[in-house]
Amino acid sequence: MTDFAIEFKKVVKQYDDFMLHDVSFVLPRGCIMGIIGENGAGKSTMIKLMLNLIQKEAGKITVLGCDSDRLSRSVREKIGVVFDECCFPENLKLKEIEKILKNIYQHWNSKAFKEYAATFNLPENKAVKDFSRGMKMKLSIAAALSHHAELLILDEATSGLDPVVRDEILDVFFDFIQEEKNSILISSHITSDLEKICDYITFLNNGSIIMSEAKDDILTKYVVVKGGRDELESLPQEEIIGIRKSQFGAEALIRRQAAPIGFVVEPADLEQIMLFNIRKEQ
Amino acid sequence: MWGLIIKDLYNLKRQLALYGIIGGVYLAVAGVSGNVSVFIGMIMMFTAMIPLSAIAYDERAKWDKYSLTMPVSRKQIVAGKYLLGLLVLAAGGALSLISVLLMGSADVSENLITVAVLLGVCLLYISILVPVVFKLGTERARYVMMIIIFVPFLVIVTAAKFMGGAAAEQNAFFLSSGFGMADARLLAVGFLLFSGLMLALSYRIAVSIYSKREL
Repeated sequence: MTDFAIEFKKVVKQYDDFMLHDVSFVLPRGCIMGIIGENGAGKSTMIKLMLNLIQKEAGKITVLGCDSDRLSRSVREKIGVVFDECCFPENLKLKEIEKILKNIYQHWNSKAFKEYAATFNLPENKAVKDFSRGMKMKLSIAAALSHHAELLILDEATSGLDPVVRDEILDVFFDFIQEEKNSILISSHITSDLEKICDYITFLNNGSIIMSEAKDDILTKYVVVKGGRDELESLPQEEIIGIRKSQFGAEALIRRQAAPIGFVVEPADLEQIMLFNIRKEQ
Repeated sequence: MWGLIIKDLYNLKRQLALYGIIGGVYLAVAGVSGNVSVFIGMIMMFTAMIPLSAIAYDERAKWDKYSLTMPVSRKQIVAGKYLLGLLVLAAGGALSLISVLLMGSADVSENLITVAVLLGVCLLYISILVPVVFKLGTERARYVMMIIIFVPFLVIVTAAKFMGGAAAEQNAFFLSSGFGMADARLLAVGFLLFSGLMLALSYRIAVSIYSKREL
């Protein structure tokens, strides 16, 4: 058994108007990795690549120890995927979906699925097309968790949901990760969700990885410095990652060790780190 | 793979039921009139549409992308659609046969030939359209579908118009040349075999198209 649930080595994917450049990162087993980045940064492309839904131009991807170009049946059994939309054809009902998946997954767990359906209050007699967005996401999550998966891949699985539902779902992910061999890769632009649950963060911008590190390391690495516009402009510009100026003052993201004395210094959260990195000057 | 087929059957159950009802009406008409050929044509037309409807629903839900994250291969997804087609075609064929045997007038043999020829036409229809739909998507494939239905229709209509007068002579020619029921039967079986071969070829083409598709 390898130590990595997912490994990307110098992966390249070229589209007409977009390119994923030399993407490398690892998700150690037993951990949760969050992928952040704005829309169009390449998060979904990365997820499609690891699932072999699209072909890469160069590089190597390993998922649960298996080359992504030749994901074996037994490896696919161990992957649970939730996309940002519910992919069940619209006329299906809960019981029918259960029967279908039972005939697809060798290790399907009907009991677990029914329990999740009950916990999530999924309606039995409605067709998928009449489900709310929250219900659809919960249905996909229930399906992903009911076949003894060891790796959950979640592409914007919590976006478009209200905070209560999101919190409920994050709890379910926490339960899943209690099992030592289980891992989660979750992409989202709701950085607060990722800050809550992730061990590692990979930050993608315009097809390139800006950072891929332990979340705590990232959070301790940067601080937000606040002060007057002139004061902040007097700081060494090479230390400033991003700056936001307003009528009343300015704030800048800066490396912790470069933080100047005599300024108001606050810890940075993931959202600030993402925004300041993308929009250097606002 | 069975999971993929029951998924389609569950998803299309309303459509199947609707076809059943319409089929029932035509069957009743056939029972009264003693002419089953319209009923057979209807049933066959319906069954050939089923795999295409299934693909259209999958496309709308983005099911393919999702199902390929499961222990399902691309080949199985393609095979599933052909099997679904064969399954409903077999059911339609069986229904047609039963109706011919129970209600057909004296010329059972002629009706059987009709069933065989229509089965062949449906197989050809599936053989052409499934790879086209996998290649172009249902939206664009719709135009191809229209061409496939209307071009032969137009050709036949125009041909009939030009050869209208000659038809009677032609019939006489066929009769005098000794083109009997036995030959027609042979022709129908040959056509059916040809359609089967086309279906096999079509399956291979569809698999190769689908294996390269980006989802």
